[in-house]
Amino acid sequence: MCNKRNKISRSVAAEAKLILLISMRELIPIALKALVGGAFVVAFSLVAESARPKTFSGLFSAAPSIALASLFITSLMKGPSTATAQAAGMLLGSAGMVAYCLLGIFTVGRMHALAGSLAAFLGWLVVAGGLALAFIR
Amino acid sequence: MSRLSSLPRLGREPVGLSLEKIREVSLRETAVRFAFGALVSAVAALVALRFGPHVGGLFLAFPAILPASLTLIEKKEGNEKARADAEGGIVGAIGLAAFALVAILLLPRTGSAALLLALVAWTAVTLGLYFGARGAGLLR
Repeated sequence: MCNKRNKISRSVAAEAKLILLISMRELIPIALKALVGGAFVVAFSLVAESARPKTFSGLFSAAPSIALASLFITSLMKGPSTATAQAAGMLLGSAGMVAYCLLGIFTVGRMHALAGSLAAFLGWLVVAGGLALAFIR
Repeated sequence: MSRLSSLPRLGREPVGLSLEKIREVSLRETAVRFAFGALVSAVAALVALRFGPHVGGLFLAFPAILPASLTLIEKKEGNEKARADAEGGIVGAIGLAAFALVAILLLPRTGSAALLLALVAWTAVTLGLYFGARGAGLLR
């Protein structure tokens, strides 16, 4: 009885160790993507800040900052095929981004910028989500 | 102040980059933008891990910094300027599609070097569309 219990607790401990190891292995690329993605966002936002007029500055608000960081790290760590699949998802997401900005012009004009820009997320969600449901299996 | 180009239209601000304006950006604003960027990058990675790379990829074109940018612009320069920023965002977002297309075509052949060409595609499409639309009077 005691032997059986020991065996079970040992196998549970081994499994927990394996899960921890896998999560640690996944945690490194996630942390790297967060760090590099954050740095690229800051770099592009500084270019946006220095640009005038505001329509020109807006180009850099929709720059591929997060995409550059994520696809580069994915391509290096998981290979180009995984990065290509992510880029295909990004193509659908970019249609959502266009919808976000189009809706944002109206919502920001009618509400305050914070409420308007949050309401415009609905445009991204509907278009990107709809395309994902239609094309991603 | 370095000027990229300017269009001789009355009442329209010329296009340019003003490096002095970067000095006006506070450390807090930079930290907020870094946090937004890091958060969305981590969410995209976690979603890709759980639901696959296609679904995770959607978040690579997520309007991560626009809410923060629009709010800060409205606070500093008014609602009209915030809306102008969103107008430019449409052009940048079309450029994102060009970035993704080039990445899809070239990543399997050239690996991560494809991303450099994808960035060139984003720049070319975005600037081409922007100056085209401005010339046609569609953008301020």
